[in-house]
Amino acid sequence: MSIQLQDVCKAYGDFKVLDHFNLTIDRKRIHCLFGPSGCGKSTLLTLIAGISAPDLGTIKGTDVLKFSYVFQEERLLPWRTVKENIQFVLQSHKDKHSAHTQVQRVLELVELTQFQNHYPNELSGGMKQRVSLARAFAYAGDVLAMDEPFKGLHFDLKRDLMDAIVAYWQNYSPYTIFITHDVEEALYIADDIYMLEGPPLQIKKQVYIPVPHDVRKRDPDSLLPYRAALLARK
Amino acid sequence: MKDFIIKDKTVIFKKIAIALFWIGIWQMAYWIIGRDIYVPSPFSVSVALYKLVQAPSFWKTVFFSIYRVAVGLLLSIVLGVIFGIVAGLHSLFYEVMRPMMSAIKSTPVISFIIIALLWFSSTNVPIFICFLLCFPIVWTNIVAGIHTVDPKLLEMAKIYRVEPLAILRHIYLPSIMPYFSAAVLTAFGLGWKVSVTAEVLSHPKNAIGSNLHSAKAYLDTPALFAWTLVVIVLSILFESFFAIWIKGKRRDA
Repeated sequence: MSIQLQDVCKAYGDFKVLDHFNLTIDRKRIHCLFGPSGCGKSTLLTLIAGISAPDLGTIKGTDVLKFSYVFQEERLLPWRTVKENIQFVLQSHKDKHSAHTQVQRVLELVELTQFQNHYPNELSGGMKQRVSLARAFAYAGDVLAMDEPFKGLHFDLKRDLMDAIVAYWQNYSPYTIFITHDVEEALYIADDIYMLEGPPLQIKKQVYIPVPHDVRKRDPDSLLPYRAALLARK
Repeated sequence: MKDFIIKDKTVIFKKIAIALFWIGIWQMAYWIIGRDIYVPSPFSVSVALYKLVQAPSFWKTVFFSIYRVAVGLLLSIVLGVIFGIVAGLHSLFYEVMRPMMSAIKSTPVISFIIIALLWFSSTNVPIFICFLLCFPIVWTNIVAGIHTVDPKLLEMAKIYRVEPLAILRHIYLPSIMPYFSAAVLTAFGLGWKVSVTAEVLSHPKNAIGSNLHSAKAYLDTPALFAWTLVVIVLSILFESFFAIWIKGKRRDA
């Protein structure tokens, strides 16, 4: 089972963002879309998630999948509390008690339990981003798609959240795709890094990191050759 | 605590002072003009009002006028919200309805009243007029409210497969609420004005407007002023009750 993009084209007017783009994504690795701003990474992710449709080409294997999506902006309901924002995506849960447990579990994970009754305008940008991540975790989609999920977070918390994402992936093995232009983030959690350029979007290089995540944490030097490969693009 | 009481007292004192100032202006106007038939004194209006309230027919009249305004407003709010939501969501429906709303807004009330006199029984004319004039206000505001809904939130709800009813309750309704309350407050003010106008011309039994007409016919200016005061008070009461209700709703939400 995999998500397959075949000859996908997407243009806004005459501006081609994707031109016969191909990509295969599986559950066995954490995939990272790594590239400069404006190269078309976000458009690619919205196409995979079905938020927008390709002009040409096919995207296979996404029809029956549920998406946990972390947007670039937090997209929280301003009139609902942190807890209610997460409950909002769990509306279809028949069992209210399990929904409540789920909300508490993810709030703990992003260290926001004590802010659960606060409104978004009472939180900092980083905290709002954590709520958005917590919402994605709580929904437990088959695909965890994240568009710059660690933007605005300080280092320690970022590392905890990256550990949480890895742990979540190891436990539930969703398709996991995230966008970043931060080398450290890419090296810390991604198994497959697609170095992108564009528009139109192209895979310039693919870097595969076979180092297990616990080793990366213990021995950061194990990532040195991959760091060199990533930085070599310049 | 003490500070609050002092502040409260100052506010009340200020309000009384402002009221007395305007009653003073009224009294001066009465002295300058000097004829009760043009401008009655505050005292003679108070006496007229006292006499009105004493009469058993007063409460019956007030009750039926409230009934007509309430039915007209309720119809305009319910239908305005339903049609407003549909028009806000479907541009074709909006395009179809918009000319009708513009036409209603720019047509003189009196034209509608005359047409309504031909179509309806006298008691239903004020209800129809109240509905007809308030409906476009509610409709326009609801459409504007729907158009302010953040498409990014809708996109988020769609990707998380949130059910349409939950989207309506948690995204659409909170976005529409400020527009809805502004519309209803405007409609309450306008509703009273146009209903009473329609009552003046359609003469239903037990109606404030019919009494205004009789007061005019008998040149009983103090009674005319007294009935007008009754309308003002009722309109303010309607608005206040709604403002309190909406405040409670916001606290609950």
